[in-house]
Amino acid sequence: MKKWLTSLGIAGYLALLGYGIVCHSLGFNTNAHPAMYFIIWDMYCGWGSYESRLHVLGEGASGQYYALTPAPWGDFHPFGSIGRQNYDPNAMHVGRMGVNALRYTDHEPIDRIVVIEETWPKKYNLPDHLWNRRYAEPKDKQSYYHLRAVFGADGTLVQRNPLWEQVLAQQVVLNNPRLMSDMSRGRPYFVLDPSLRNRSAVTPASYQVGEPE
Amino acid sequence: MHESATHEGLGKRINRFFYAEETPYGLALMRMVLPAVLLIAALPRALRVRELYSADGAAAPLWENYGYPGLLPVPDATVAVALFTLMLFCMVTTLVGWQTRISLLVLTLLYPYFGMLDSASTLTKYTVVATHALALLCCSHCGSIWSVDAWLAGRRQWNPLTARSPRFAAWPRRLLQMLVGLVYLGAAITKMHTPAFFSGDQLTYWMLTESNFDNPIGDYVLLYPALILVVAYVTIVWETLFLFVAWQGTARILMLGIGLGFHFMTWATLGLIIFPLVYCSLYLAFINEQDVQWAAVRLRHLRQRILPVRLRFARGGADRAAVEPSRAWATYGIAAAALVLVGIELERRSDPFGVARPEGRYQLEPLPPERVREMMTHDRPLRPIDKLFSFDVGTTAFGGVLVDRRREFDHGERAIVQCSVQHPHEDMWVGIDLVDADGHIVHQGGQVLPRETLRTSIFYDFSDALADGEYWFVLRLDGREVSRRQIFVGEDGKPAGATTDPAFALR
Repeated sequence: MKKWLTSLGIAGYLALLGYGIVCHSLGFNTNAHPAMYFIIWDMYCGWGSYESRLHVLGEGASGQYYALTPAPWGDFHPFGSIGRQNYDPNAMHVGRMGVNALRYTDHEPIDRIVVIEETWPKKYNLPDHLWNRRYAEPKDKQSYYHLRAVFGADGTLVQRNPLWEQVLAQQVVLNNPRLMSDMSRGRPYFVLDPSLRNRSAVTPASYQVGEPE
Repeated sequence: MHESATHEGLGKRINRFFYAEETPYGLALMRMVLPAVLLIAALPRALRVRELYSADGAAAPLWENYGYPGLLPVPDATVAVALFTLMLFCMVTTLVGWQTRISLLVLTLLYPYFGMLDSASTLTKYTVVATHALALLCCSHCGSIWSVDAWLAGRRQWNPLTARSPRFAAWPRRLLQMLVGLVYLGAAITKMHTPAFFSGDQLTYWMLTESNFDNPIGDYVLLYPALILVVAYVTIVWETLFLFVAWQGTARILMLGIGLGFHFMTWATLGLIIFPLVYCSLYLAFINEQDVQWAAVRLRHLRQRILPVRLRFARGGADRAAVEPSRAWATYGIAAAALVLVGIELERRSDPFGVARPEGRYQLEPLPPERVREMMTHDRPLRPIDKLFSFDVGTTAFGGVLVDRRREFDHGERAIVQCSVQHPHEDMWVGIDLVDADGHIVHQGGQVLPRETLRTSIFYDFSDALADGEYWFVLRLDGREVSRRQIFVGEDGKPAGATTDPAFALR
């Protein structure tokens, strides 16, 4: 009996690992449940050519901005020399990190928490002596900034934007007049009329149907 | 008849594979090494438990990433500290093999729980691999040798050649071995899903990142793209084969040897520390009884050669009397409870957020206006130079990547002029001109670089019509010059004292 149960356990465990391999291979259900993280082996599945940092700022009622990361009691550097907020690429938890800094510090009333993504090409991470061996050009690093997310002072999500690299990729595709024309043709749109605040504020304004060929 | 015999043979082989009895030396070693590795990562986090794992800080639960808010509770600070301290205690007790089974059970529950509570800075794939390993060790008898438990049971245990070692079915070790192979297979599939892995681009950019710990040679390896490509192909072949051939004989030694080299290089080039250590500790599952006896014989010979006769000592010949189990349990429980209480009190006194400082709570300092202005200037267009990754001239390409960089050419040679750009990028016209030392354009060329492509090359034949001397390949993006490379053509054109092995130096 014990051996049967053991065999069942062995078969079940191997089936579980096999299920993970199949899901990963076929891209099936990979994000269906947190448990999938424990059977999908997708180490280093992504890559980017830009280095990125997240800055969590508090915007005060006076218009002043305050850095909420690093927190005044010190940053936690989990895997190297950069702060913990930088390992939240989807900006899911940085709002809470900002709220935590606000909770335990003295400050003026804060209106909102703003998350700014700073990026630069990774080639500028090369140390100077190797840069000089690899490139003929002078090393002239410039950062680009992008509004990643906005949270209320209590951490409520107000706005979340795609990663800057995703924005670049979208721009590449959308910078196409024919595509933009296709996207707008045959698509209903609505306008919001503030004067109708007490009634239905959404008014259909146009509906254009594509003409048959 | 023949078919049924084959089936019976296969069944017997599977039975022997999983249920052959052995002394779990490999698992006992893993039981000692794995918790020590996990402690390296856990101890720095022990000072931040309130911030990283509690509702009184800024936990980052994994289940929220998957759209399951509230799937598991986020503990308050006191509970988080108590559980984290208990987890540390169990890592140490597992390491020494004290109440091994219960320690591993607690670890198997708490270790992934804390990982999931902080998906930003604690949970990684090494957490997952270690969780699997802890769960399988929990099912094994890894605490039956080389442990406090065995010592308390009064067993003579230290020398594999003389010890009275218990024997158990091999299946936990077999499952750990299969786990190692399946993780490698999954990693190989990930690479197959990533075309940039096969051009070396993915590895290149990972070596350039500052998200991992510092590494000693990653930046230098970038100067040798051929090496990156070769390593990429060797890695994927090795990861795919591992599960199928790393079981016995020379193949086992070869696969494990490559694995050790591979994980060492993930530290040396990528700055990974805990992941390679976790994985190397899993390799201990490949140690079998014969390996241990082989090592024990050699150690004995070594000891006989090194130590003088009078310093040699024989371990006690008879087993000791066993300690009563209830007393051992009570001691274990009291030690755990005491450590948890000490942990809670120490954490409370450490005042991690500085709210009880004599000078009062921390004050937020306003950012300088010029810094705010800089950060609030969003989504500026890219400079052409920031679209370029590299611009090189050479003669040999491997997998579409230029692997040598040269600046001296003879008539009749063909140069490959390659431009690599950052991803993502728009459809681009890459203009490449050949200009002489006086700035006159000798040849004008270029290519369209579609958005899905990261590099383009043009070929240039140095015909006899070209006079000896100095020339420049000039790269234009967006119609503007962004880079240029100096070359010398012909014997008379070479500068005095120029190196014949420029390798990568183009200046």
